[in-house]
Amino acid sequence: MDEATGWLLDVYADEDGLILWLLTDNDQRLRLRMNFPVTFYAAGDFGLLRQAWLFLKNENVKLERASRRDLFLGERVCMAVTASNPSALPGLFAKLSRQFPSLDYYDADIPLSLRFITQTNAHLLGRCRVSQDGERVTAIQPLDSPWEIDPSPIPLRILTLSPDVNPAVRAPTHLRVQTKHGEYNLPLEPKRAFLISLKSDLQRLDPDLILTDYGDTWLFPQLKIWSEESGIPLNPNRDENKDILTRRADSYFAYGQVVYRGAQAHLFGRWHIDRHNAMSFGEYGLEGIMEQARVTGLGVQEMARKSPGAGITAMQMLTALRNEIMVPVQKQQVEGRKTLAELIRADHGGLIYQPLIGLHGNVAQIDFSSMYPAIMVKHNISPETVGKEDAPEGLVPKTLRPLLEKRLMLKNILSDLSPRDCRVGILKARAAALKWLLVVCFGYLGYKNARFGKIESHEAVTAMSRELMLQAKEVAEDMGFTILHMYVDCLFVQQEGFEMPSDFAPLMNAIESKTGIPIALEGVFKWVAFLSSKRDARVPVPNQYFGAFLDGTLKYRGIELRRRDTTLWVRNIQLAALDLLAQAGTPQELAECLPDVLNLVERAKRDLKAGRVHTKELVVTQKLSRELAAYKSPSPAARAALQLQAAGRQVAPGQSMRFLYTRGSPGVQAWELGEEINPAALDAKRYCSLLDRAMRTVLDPCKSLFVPVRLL
Amino acid sequence: MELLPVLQTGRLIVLCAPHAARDESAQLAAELALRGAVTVLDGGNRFLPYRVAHLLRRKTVNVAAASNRLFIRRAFTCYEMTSLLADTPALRQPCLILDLLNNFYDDHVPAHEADRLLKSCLGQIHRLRSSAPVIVTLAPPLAADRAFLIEQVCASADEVFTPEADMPPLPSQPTLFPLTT
Amino acid sequence: MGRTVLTITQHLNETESLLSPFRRTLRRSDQYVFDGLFASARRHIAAIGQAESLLPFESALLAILLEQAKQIAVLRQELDELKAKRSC
Repeated sequence: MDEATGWLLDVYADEDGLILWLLTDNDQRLRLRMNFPVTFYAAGDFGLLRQAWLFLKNENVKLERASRRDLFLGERVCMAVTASNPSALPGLFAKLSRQFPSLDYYDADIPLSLRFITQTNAHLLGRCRVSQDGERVTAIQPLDSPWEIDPSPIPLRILTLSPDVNPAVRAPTHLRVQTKHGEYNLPLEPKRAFLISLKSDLQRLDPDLILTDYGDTWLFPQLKIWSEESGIPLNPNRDENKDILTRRADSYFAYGQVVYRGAQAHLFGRWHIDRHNAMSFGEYGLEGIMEQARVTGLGVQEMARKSPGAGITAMQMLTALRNEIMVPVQKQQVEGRKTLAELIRADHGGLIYQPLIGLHGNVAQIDFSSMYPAIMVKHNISPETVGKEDAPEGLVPKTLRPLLEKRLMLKNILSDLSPRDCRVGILKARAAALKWLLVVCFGYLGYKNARFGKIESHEAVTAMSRELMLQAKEVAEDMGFTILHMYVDCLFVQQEGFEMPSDFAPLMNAIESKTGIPIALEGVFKWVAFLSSKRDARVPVPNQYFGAFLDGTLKYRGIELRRRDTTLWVRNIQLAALDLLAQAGTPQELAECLPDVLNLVERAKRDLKAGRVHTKELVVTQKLSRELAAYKSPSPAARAALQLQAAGRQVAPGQSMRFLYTRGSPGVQAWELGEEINPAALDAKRYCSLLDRAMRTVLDPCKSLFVPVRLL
Repeated sequence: MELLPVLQTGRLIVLCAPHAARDESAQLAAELALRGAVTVLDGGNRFLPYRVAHLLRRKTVNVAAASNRLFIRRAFTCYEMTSLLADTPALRQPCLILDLLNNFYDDHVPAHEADRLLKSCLGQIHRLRSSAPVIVTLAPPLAADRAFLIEQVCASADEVFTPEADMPPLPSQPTLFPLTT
Repeated sequence: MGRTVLTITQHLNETESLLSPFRRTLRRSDQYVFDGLFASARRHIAAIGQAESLLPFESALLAILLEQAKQIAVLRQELDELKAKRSC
């Protein structure tokens, strides 16, 4: 019997069991196999269960009567259906549920990795010791936990493949190949030579991760086609028994808008991440995605492409499995009865306290740390505990507690490190990745498809959050502070003579002591401007502000800089304007910076009209909100989409359209057409008015510093 | 009160209109709450709480008492709607089911499953109507391939009202401001 | 998901919209002051929401009165200061 120690890279189902890939301490990549029977449960009408039993009698399954716990209904008598091979379960469940749709099903669609983790306690990307008999695993011992603050780094071999151009705009001519040893260009023509070369690279380098640009939507689908056409077999999987797992592109409605998800190409034995199709790659990179895979139990390829919501769902499933609670396939719990008055009382979000419009100096922003998850943990708010006194710790708090603790610990470590410390980047990425899991967990408390979701728990959290914000306000006011603005989990406070961060420490301690929720100082603004409505300057707008901290760094929310549909050109100028204003030490000093800002704007407009602005900076990005046929009068995005469609491209609702504003009709030119444009054809007037609007945002709060004159 | 006489125990009335007769059902909920307890099951987030309170206020100063006679539950998936109906006791109070089919158009629920669940819902509605009048509101179908769902609901109704054609005028009194937005 | 009750902002927008025939009939100068009443209410959206009233416009009217009372207090103080200066 052999033993191997290393990192667990991947697990998946195969014809005769479960396959694991271990990256060993001596740099081997071992493909191992494990017997892994899986069970799902059916419950409901006894007559139907009896018929279901008879229906499955001749299948290759083990049937047993079992008593298992439903989170809301308590113990239920179930039929346990065990398949010796995990890959057989989906087909079996589909067959049974089609025949007996009115039974309640549990544990029938749990990701295999979660079952594995529950059974072995070894986690993905974690270190473990494996005892093996040939390629068969006889025992597995975890050597660390997903909650390690500083897990040992995995010596991944990474191969990066990126085409020289966006394939949606123009046909690429070569692939840029990067490894830790160097990089080179691999021409795509002739195809045979390209495929032979790529195949040889894959075999020689044997990467653990293939990082691509457009790998999901272009490279892997094309490789398959080219391989078939040329007769040169090319399987990018490390597990050569497997084909690439492909998923179709999809548009779906979520959170009030249409979301587009591109096609996907998943590999076996190694990971593939497409940087252009990975939801949050831009935000927290590979380290963040790996951290999410580590704590959620979902594979790296899944986590890269899925929303954090899928991660938090997986974590809840894992908690349920570990506590022998069945995971329903369909959510069963429904809302309790409310009178009209009760509904009006309950159906509210977080507390939003309108800001005092205008410029303010020496303002501290203090934030509750992960407020909603902290409330869920501290007050034991879980779908099954809501409204109950002295209930044992609920499923949701149990799930969130280690996540919250790890994130807080990472934040504390980061606050003590020098910004130049080499660990900062990785720790920040991990903290950001965990933050996103925490951010979405609240929504999933009440989310319609959340297995354990119940709207009353969602309502309980918001009610508690409003109460805690009011308590914080009262503490601050008792200590002589003015509340300038509050937004869900953060407060902006001010008091004459309070300027340094240490001045606000007693306030924060008092709030934390009163509310029981940790609170942190985001910073002290030298000056901050709270904005008013563009429609009526007397009406304040929450969470729209810009300001400069004591160290000169800027913070801004809700302004054009933060909006995805703003052109790079406008964003750059607005940011440059704010950088100029950031030099002011007080609100009054802003007046001295304004002439430079005005000059900056004039220069920018002159550059635009003279054709000195690169068209790339003028690209507008807007989403296509519906099918093209559904537009009564096409928006600019729709007009751009029509152009792409006329050029033979596919467009779908939820996709982002990129275009330039042009003079005359149709008024736009789709960027992905790849056509050169004469600067004279650009609609300079429109771009200037976009810039004016963005500059009004910045300059309007400063009006009070002037004798009224026309600024723009 | 032209609609109210149409409501009788044992009868299922269907209102089919844009936005699932949202405004009309708010008025109806208010009128019914002035007279007694009402169950409201909302399948499409169509219930307008402030509007109903405002309508109550126009008829009574005791808005709180009337509002405490309205019992609301919401369903956000077709599975929830099915569970909600199964869980609703057959009481002697009108049952107003708003936008019953809204969640049955979900792409992720196959048509045969939507059909099965609807049949279950209609079975529960049949149970409820034996104790009190049941009113179901529907919106025009979101997907042509699910139009059969509306047909099934209308087939089990005693009366179906559609806009402009034959919707009986709901009770009203002279207004200071127009109600529609 | 699950938000059935309008936010106070939405409710005020709806109420303002219902009152548009009223506003339209006012003189232009009065329209500006009328808009100011709603702006006053919008400064206290949190308080109106927290009141959890079945008829939130009643709480909005209180917010409008509050802002008017503040303006009166400021004007009274300025008047007192002017009187004090004159009598010196």
